Amino acid sequence: MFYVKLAGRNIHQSMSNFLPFALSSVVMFLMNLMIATILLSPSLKKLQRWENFAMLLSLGLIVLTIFATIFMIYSYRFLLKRRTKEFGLYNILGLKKRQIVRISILELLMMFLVTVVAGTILGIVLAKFLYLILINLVGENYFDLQWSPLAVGIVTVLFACIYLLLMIISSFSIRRQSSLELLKNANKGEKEPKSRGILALLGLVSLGIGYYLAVTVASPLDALTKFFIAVLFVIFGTLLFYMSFTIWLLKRQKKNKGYYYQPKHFITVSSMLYRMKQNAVGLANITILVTMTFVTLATTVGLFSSINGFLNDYFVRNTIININTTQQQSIELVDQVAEKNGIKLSNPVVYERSNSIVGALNNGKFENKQNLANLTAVNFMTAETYTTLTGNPVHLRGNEAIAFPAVGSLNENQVKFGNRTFKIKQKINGIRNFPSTSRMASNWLILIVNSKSQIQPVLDDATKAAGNHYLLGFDTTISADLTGKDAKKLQTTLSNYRVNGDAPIQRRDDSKTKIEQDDRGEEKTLAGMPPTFERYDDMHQQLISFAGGFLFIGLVLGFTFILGTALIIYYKQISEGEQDKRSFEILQEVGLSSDEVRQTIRSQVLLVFFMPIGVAIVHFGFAFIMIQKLISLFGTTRFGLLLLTSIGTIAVVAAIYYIIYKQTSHAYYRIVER
Amino acid sequence: MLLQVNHLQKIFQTRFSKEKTVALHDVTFSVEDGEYIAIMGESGSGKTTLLNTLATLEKPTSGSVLLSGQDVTKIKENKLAEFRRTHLGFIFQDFNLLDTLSVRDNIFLPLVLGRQKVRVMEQRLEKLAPRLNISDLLNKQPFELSGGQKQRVAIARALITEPELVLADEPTAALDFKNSEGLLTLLEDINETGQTILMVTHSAIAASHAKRVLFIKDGRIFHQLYRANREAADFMQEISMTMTNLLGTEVR
Ligand SMILES: Nc1ncnc2c1ncn2[C@@H]1O[C@H](COP(=O)(O)OP(=O)(O)OP(=O)(O)O)[C@@H](O)[C@H]1O
Ligand SMILES: [Mg+2]
Repeated sequence: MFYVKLAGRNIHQSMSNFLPFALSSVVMFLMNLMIATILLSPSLKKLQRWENFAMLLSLGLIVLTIFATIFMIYSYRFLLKRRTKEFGLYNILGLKKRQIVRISILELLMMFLVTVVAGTILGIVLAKFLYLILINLVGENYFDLQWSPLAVGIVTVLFACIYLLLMIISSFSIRRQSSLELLKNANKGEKEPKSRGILALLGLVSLGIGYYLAVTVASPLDALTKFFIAVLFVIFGTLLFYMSFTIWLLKRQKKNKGYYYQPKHFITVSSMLYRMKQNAVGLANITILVTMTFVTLATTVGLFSSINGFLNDYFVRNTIININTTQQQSIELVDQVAEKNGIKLSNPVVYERSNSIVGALNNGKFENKQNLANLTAVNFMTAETYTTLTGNPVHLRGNEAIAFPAVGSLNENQVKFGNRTFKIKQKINGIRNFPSTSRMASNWLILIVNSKSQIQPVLDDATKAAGNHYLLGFDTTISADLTGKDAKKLQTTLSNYRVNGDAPIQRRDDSKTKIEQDDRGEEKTLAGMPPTFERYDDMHQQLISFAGGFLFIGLVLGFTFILGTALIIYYKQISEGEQDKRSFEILQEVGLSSDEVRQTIRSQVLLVFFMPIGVAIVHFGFAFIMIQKLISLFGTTRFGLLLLTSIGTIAVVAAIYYIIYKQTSHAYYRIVER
Repeated sequence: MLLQVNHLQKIFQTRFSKEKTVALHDVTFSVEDGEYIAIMGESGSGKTTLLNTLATLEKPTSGSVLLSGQDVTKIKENKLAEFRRTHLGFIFQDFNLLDTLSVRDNIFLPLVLGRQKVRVMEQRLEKLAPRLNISDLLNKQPFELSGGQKQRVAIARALITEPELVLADEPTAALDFKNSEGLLTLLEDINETGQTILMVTHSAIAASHAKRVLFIKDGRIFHQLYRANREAADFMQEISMTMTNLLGTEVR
């Protein structure tokens, strides 16, 4: 009982030490609990495509748990460090180490209880609010969120594990030190750091590799696999960078006497150098957290905001019907059905093109092989169709072709398919009434050639390469504006027809088709398929719910990362303030005016402020290339928009970071000022 | 006359209580060039306050302090740091070395702040270091030094600006007996070369190394003793007796 009292009194007395720890503990618990509650609540199952959300939320929960563990350890070690003196005093006054450990474990137990109680109460209230945000983002109606005792149980167990870890850490670190060490620990002297050239080099090389991986990503799938490797290299490199490279740089500045022995540089360089070692890890942490925030938010915001652009590029009209046969047969079918049912197709656009052939396009040479890392889809279109679509007359002779690289680029002036070569007469960057984006592949090329007879051999080759399962030929796309009711009716009626290339269209009584995909995952090349039907509204809803889920997790993680950054900066400011307090007093006594003191503080603070942000922006710059590729995996590649949203995100995060910095700097000034 | 202190008064009033503490009542004394003066008094008698006022770290409530004819209490706030740097040297009880700087840079500190040339700094240190026996310590960090060594470094830092007046606040308080003795002899030697020193202390032993001792009680100077040509030990006897008789306190 005595220990319980002592532990309780300790927490009460050094509230200022315990408060940041308690705060981070409660907030981490809260974030975890909110996500877990939403994940386990039956309300989630009322959402369309809820399995997607469940997967995303689970992923988010894992990331949050890892983050919480690391972060709690960080906070607790900070707390321990500040209390070593107190523990040392106990030790000298006659408490055994074992008893001190018992006190610190009791303290942790109390913190744990506080965390669970406060976290649960706050969690139940705030989870509803968070759920409302999710619902809004994915564009659904409001469903009430039910409280889940299971979620509370799971998160409590998770945190019990984390606290157990903290208890182990505490007993180890208390037992390890002698009592005198415990007393002195608070102001231990440090030898000026050595510059370690090898480490500096290693850091730069590691960063270089990470960056190189990011820059050389060729395709979305490539990006996915390389992403984590690149991230690991960059984290490692950042740590080494702060630990060695900056020390090396400062040492060089120090060697230059003319530079070093100026009042401005003298104090800054020496204290930065002194601090670099103890805070390299802190700065690296901040940098990585800020980068993570940038990347998470920029990716999810970018994805979310590119939906509309993508849809506008894809949907020439609000409804797209694709029929796997010639234009003539298709129009006949649709006209007949529409007329019989009294359906009106406004502003129709009709064009015929070849089925897609998918393969690898390298140096102007197309090969029918399925290399997942870099897929190109090619569609052919006749000059006649092109002219009808756009109204532009074209004259193509022999094997001349016009290329429209809708997604990706084409640098060569010829494209070879086996032994057939098409000379690129002209490259265009758009076709009127024709989509300029694809959902299928990372690259999409449309070739406009003189006649069908030039195309068919290429298609036959592709058919052969795919194992002669289905004949590749031509399909027809009819885009038109339809009312929702008409669209539904047309879709149901059309689903009774089976279309198979040039063969006559058949009518069936059952609208169900056993859909088999060919080995390239394409449905429309399948024999006897009904016409495919795509609606702007459907796809909009589908994409929004997908990207909205992503954005939600992105916001939650981003918020947590920023919070983590804030607390780390706060800890840094406090500990630095305490170290610097004496220094600035001495400096003033020796003859530094208070203006100069303020200037010195400002330049130091600014440097420590801008360094992580600067490094994080550089990191992000390289990550951007990857992000762009990753997002294009979902069918959107709008460089300008992505750049804009990224810059916006960085600006917002930087502004928040600045506010945090300003606020925590006050803590610093308050300590340093006399 | 180097230093002239006239009717100095210092009243502390804390922000939160109306209570006033009179730390200095009415202090008047003067210091000649090349003197070595100790100011003695019991704890709380106002020694540190007096020294801080002379050091321009504290503004007096009334009275004046003239250093080489200039009234230091009238110096503007933004000129004070520069004044301290160029005219005064400080030796503190707990050394006040900066952990972030090497021993060499700690000594250079006031000169760097005064934008002195690197060559001049190095020349001065070259002359000073052997006298203080710190030549071997220059590349170390302060935390690697013993108390006595730290205090010698602090003295080097005080002397490197070639100040008109060195102010020392209980320079031996944090040192053991042997180190104190060494340090006091060192200060005596430095004074021999013509450096004016003003030291406050409550140790009779420390005071006995000075040429003149002023006694302060309740913020007033009320007695002084001259060492003349006596040995330090003899002088200490008299200081002790004066303290016991006049102040009614036992002296260590
Ligand atoms: N900043 C201050 N605010 C209020 N009162 C103060 C302040 N500084 C000193 N005093 C008071 O002024 C008086 C003289 O203090 P001072 O520090 O000069 O004594 P001292 O002779 O140096 O004592 P010691 O030998 O213990 O160092 C004391 O009563 C003290 O409480
Ligand atoms: Mg004092």
